[in-house]
Amino acid sequence: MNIRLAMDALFQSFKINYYVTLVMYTTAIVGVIISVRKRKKFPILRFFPIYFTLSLVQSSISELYNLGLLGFDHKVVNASINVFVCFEFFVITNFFFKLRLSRGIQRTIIILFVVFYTFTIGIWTTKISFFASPYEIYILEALFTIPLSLTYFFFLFKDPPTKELVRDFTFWISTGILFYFTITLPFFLVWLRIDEKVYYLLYTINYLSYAIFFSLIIKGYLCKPEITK
Amino acid sequence: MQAGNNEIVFIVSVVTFLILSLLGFIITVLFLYQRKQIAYRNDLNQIRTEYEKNLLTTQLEIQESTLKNISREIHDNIGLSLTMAKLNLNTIQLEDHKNTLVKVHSSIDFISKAIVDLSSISKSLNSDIILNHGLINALETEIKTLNYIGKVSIDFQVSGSPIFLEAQKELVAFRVVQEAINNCIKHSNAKQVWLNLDYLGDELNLSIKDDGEGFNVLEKLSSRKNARNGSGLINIQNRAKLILGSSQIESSIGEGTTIKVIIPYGKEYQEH
Repeated sequence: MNIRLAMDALFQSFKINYYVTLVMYTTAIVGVIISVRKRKKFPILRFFPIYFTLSLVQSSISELYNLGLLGFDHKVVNASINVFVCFEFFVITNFFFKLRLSRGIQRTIIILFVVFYTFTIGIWTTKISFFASPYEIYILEALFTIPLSLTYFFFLFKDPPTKELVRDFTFWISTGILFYFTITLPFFLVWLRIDEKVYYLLYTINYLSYAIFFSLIIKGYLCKPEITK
Repeated sequence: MQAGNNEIVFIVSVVTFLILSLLGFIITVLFLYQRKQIAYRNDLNQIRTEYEKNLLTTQLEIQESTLKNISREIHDNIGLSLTMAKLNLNTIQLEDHKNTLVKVHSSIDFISKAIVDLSSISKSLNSDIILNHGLINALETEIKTLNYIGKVSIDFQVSGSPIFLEAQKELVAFRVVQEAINNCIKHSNAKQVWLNLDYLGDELNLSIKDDGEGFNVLEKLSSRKNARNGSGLINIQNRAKLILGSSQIESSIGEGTTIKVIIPYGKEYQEH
């Protein structure tokens, strides 16, 4: 009876998540294709093809674990998320660094970079293992990247308005970064206090936010391939 | 099943909220940015209008100053030479062959001088010389004429890598030099003038130095008479500003005067 209930719950969960997961995978695959094809036109986004690919790999590991296939240990899932979050932070800081908003901002990015990776390595080697859930690292990543994307908008309005914003890829990508981390940060802040039953809901919202974030990056790739600053 | 429906409603609500908030954010940013762009374009138009107005004023000033110079030249030199020639010719007594010959030769000299002076005025007025041959050639011609007249000796040096600036800029730079040399001749009793043009790759450093009497710069620039009539020094400063340059006047009594003008022409200026 208990096994049957568990199977029903899994099926129900899969049904609810199904469309969101499908949308996320679709955007990620389109992201891989477009970022590879346009990699030469957007040298500033040179790590984005790897980022899209890694997101696909990491999501697949999570999904395979959720479906109970291939006998993955949850540690493998956590390790893959750890690697993904670290690479994601590198890609985002590299993007803002290359925008050259100001020398001060570039110096701040270097400091944030050092602090983030020192914290990450510290947390892996001391309190929490590399194979544990990386929500603290994720929170730090969000706390660093939200101000960075806000800085982009600050400079957008501070500098002379010479850009054609709708056709500026930096605008769409920065909007995506701000959107994704602002939406998901509150959920990760209450990560430890939530009931296990609603974890999959968080996953759904996370996937959905990723799908929108990836769509905005894809929109960026469809813009003019030069930086106006 | 009821719980499942609630979750679907929750997710749909979250999705709707996320998409609406994202759209709201994008539309707000685009709207504010567009408003800023309109204000920025208005400012640019205003600056452009102001610039064109200043350009016109300066062109009128240059024209007025040039007309004054022509008037003075005609009165002081050409008029005098022709008057002397007429006086000579009027006083000829045909019976006195020897004296007549002297007076005719003297009249020819006066008329020749008047022709040279006229040619000199014509050359210095013709901005086509600058546009066709460039600032350096125009200055060489001007200096040759001034050295020939002999009121002052001018030493002209060019260094760096000379290039042809924009036509408007070359013309204004030429008028700045003319104004400065004119000031030397008229007010400072200078015997020697050193003119240097240094092309530095992104700016032209123009320097005019003389060994004249010198003056108190602050006093000269702030005197009411100068402000009202538009002194040559103020003209130089205004003209330098007009081509986005800067000027510096150094002088003290008994120690000559140095006027330095910096005219930008490099990549940064083009972007500006």
